[in-house]
Amino acid sequence: MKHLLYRFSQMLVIIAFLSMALFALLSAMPGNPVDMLVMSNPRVKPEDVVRLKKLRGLDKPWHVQYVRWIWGYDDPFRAATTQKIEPVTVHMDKENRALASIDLSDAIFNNNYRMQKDEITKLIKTNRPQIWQKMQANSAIQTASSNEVVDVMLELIATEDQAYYQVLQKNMQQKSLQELTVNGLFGASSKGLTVTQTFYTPGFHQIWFVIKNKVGLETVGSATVTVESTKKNLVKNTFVVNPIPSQVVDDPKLFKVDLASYVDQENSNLKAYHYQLLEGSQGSIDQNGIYTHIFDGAGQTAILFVVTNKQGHQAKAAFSVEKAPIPDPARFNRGFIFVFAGDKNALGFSNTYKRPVWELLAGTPSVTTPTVGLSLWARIKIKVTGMIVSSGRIGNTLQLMIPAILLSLIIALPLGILSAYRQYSWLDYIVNFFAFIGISLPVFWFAIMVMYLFAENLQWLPAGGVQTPSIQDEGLSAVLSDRLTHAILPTLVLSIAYIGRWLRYMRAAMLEILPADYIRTARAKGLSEKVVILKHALRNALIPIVTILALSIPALFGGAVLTETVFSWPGIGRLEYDAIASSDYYVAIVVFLIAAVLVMIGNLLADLLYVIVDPRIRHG
Amino acid sequence: MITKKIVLKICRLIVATLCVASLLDCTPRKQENRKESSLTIGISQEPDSLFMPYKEMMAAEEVSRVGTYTLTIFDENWKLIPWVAKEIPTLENKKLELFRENGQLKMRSTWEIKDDFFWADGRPLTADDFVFTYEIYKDPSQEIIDRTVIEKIEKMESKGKDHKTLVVTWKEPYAYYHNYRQHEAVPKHIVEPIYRASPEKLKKHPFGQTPMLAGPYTIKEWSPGSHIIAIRNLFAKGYLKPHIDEIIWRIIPQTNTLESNLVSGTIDAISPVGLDFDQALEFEKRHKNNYNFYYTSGLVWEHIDFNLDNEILKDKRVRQALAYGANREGIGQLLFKGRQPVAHGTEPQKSPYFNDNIRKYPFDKTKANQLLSEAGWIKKDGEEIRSKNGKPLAFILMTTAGNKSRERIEQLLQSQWREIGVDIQIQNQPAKVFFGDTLRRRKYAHMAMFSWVKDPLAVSDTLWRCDYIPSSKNGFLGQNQSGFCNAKADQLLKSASLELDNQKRAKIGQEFEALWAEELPSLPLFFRVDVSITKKGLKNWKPTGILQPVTWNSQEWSWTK
Repeated sequence: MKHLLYRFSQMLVIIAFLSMALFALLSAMPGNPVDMLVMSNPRVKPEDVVRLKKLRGLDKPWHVQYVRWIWGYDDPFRAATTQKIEPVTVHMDKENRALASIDLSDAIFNNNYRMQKDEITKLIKTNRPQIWQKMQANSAIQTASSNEVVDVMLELIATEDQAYYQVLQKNMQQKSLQELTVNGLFGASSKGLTVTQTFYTPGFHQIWFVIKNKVGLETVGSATVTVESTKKNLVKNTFVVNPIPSQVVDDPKLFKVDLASYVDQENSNLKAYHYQLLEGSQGSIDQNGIYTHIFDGAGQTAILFVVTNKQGHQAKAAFSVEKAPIPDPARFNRGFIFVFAGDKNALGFSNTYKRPVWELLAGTPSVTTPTVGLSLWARIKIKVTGMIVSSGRIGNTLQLMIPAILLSLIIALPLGILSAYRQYSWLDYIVNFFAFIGISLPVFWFAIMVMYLFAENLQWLPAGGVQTPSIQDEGLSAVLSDRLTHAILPTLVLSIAYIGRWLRYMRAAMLEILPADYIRTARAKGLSEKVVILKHALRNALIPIVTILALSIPALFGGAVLTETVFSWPGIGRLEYDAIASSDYYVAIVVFLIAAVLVMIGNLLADLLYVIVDPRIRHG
Repeated sequence: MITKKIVLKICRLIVATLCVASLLDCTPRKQENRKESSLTIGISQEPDSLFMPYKEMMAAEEVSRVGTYTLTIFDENWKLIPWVAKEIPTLENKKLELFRENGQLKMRSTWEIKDDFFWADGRPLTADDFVFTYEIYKDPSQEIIDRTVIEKIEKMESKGKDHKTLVVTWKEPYAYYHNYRQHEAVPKHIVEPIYRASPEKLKKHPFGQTPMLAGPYTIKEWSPGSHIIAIRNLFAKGYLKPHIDEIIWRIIPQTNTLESNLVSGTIDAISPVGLDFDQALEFEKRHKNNYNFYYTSGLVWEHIDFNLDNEILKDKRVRQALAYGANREGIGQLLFKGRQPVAHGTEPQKSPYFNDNIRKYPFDKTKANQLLSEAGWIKKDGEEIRSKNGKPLAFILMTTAGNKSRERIEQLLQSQWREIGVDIQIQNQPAKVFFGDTLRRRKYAHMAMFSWVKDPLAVSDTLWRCDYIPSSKNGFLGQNQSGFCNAKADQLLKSASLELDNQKRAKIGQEFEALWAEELPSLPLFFRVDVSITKKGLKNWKPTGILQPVTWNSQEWSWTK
């Protein structure tokens, strides 16, 4: 017992260390998936690569990435955004004033808002009781984590009742806007979500405003106003600053914004400007309109400035700067460690296959066929068929490896014993001859040859693949026999290599035992040959064999990359190879770790088996 | 005797296993199982996603385009034809207009959407779908890779009573406003709830695995690592009605296995995303009579970039001499049986920017020797390699290790250049290192062989403009790997994307070609040829050779009776 505990704690330490080492190694590999994009598509722009890296968290040093992977991370709070607001045209009154007013309720979004579960439950219960009933029976909602349950509910409502979904959507939009406060800038005043400003010159103007969300992230927005006047003698305003998109601080030291490119001036002779920041705004602007500042901290702030042209006209404008994100604990993404808490999604997400890792390994949940009114036997059959067809990479590999290993054992061990017992007989020579062929045949070549013979020339067996597409429509027996026919060739190829190796081991182990004194003693006692060989000799010869077998357990899982590739068998081996080639870190590391755990389990198993095989060993 | 018994036991065991095996039906179920009208295509790559915003791989394009839902598509002659749209907006038909707003020149394109397109659940495809998709593309929190076009669009609106008019307003005139990849659609009524609930989870949603499409087919099943099934869209109308009921892709990563599957009848065709070129040639030798072979020259441009920061290669004469000294025709004959056209510039013959009157560099050793001598590289008595001031004329040539045809080209070039007194050292790297580090950071000393996939419509300005030279300033994120920087070329390339008139733009492109060929920042080699094979009897299989996959006309495919 003590030994077992010791072994387990050892295992945990090794896994912790391995995962860290693997992660460091993988991220040190040249060519991460985002960098590779630039090389394969001439249209991908540098900015996009920076953005994608940030989205996937690849811009951080590896130890930060490791913590993100193993523990998890919070998605950031999101600032409000504005849509392009339709330009407004207003007319001047007799006193040369024009009042422009803009309602923002359709133009701004609070991206941070999430409906609470209780709230949505209450709404559905009262408004759409039928949907509520369906929800209670829905397994997706039952199993969703508290973070995701509202999303799943909304999705279900959309599929059930599109019209009600739209109503709900509108309701949410209205509620979400209550969290925002809008403030007019540069003389604009605001009331609720309406911004108003009075203008005194005809021509183009911009109304500027800033939206603040509940954690204080500021977003600058603006709308174009055209002021029309019947009087001809008034000087038209042509000097405005166009809307400036939100600026992201990637590297604080390099951060700069070229404000001059947003300043609009019809008469280019007047292009000498004077730029000045308004009170309360951080940073500095030089005389070419380049804004610089080394930002620290997190959040999103508005920067306000004023531009003066040669004629002395002024235009005020603002833009928002996105500094480091503020993490939102309500949007926590669970890391790998939560696997131990039973969350399979914590295994991660494959960026190559755009699927959760667990789904790749264990298979997609099979499509549910209606089973109402069928007998129990028929229902079981449908269930089993579904399970087989959507077995995933692990299932496929086991289906290949278990028969291969069993077949090899059944053939290799008896033959090994026999050829040792009858050393230098014709049988020994023949068996050895074939064993050597098995060991020395390159799997790759042999697989292609076998396929060429049986699939291409004789056309007896299919040339690779794990099953015929949509065979599940034909029932369980068809699926079974189809899978079996597909498995024959790869199993054969794999077994031949195993048989050769294990046969040699068995023979060698047996040869060492047979001349031993206790075998002679056993024979001298008058025991039958059967008892001598199978009980006295075999049991001792099995000790080294057990080690070898136990260490083959990871192979059972790891599969055989070459065989799987040639026979296009979607197993673990191929998955791992592809994952490394395409820098799909999360898949690669999970498969590695499972393999590592299996090696350790195999070791432990070997230790335990010794106790059975070898009476001299007794653990405390 | 004990041996006898054991042998007997083993025999019994083997017999028992065989019995079990024979009990189950072991005959291959290829022919009798196949539905009357289905087509199985072998493909060597597995798609990354079938969901429009996130798919990047060629295989994903091929599969998802059975339900084509783009406004325009390219046909096999690289001609842009309207697809979901009734016609392509142009200045002539007044659907494309230029206007001024706040003193800025802007552009508006108006697309009328056909009435024949329906999503697989029976809802019509409308401009709303396009507008919503644009919203996803615009969202910076989505992992959209290529946003070149999206950033040029100011807004997109759905107009008309039945939402069949799509109006796109552009921030500035943009010549490639009609490119087929730019306006795509996802079913808004299905995707919107998923997106609104949590935008960051859209990528992970299972909808992406079996998305609903709006063309002749829709996706029914995707079994990862094994196969993908597309079935006919029951709501497809008129010419969109397919002749074949079901298209199945079998994912077979090993190319030998692809061949075996074709011969044994498990698959009916090998997709252009499948065989290697030389393998196809071999296969054709053996099975010429049973299959149709399609060799389609495409837009994958194989070339060798010269590192123009290198003192020796900075000299134009050296680059030109290297071009004269390389027998590209001969290499093409030897390796590709002359089926891969030799590239003289950066554009293939089918491209509008192709210019036949540019400076060409046919194999001519005398000219090569003359140019090198002019540049001061002299062959001393008894020496094979030229030298200048005691330094030998030696270069390092790099490419991706393990790419058979590239490695063979390297060896041939090495021996050919040796004859003009140039020493080449080959130094190959695994693709990940080569592309991820060496090329990206321009770490290659002299020459790097690789390829670009080009756009059939656009002049590829990102490859040759000064501001796209990778350097620490732009975080090594540029594609001008040779470091070519020419003021005239820069100006031409910048003006091309603003020119709306196709003919004028073609002129600009051709002028750039001529300038490029004179300067020769890299040695053009070949335009790669796509190979696909089908069984005899499959009609209207029309590979394009470009990014537009072979499935673009899948509704026209049929079997001869």
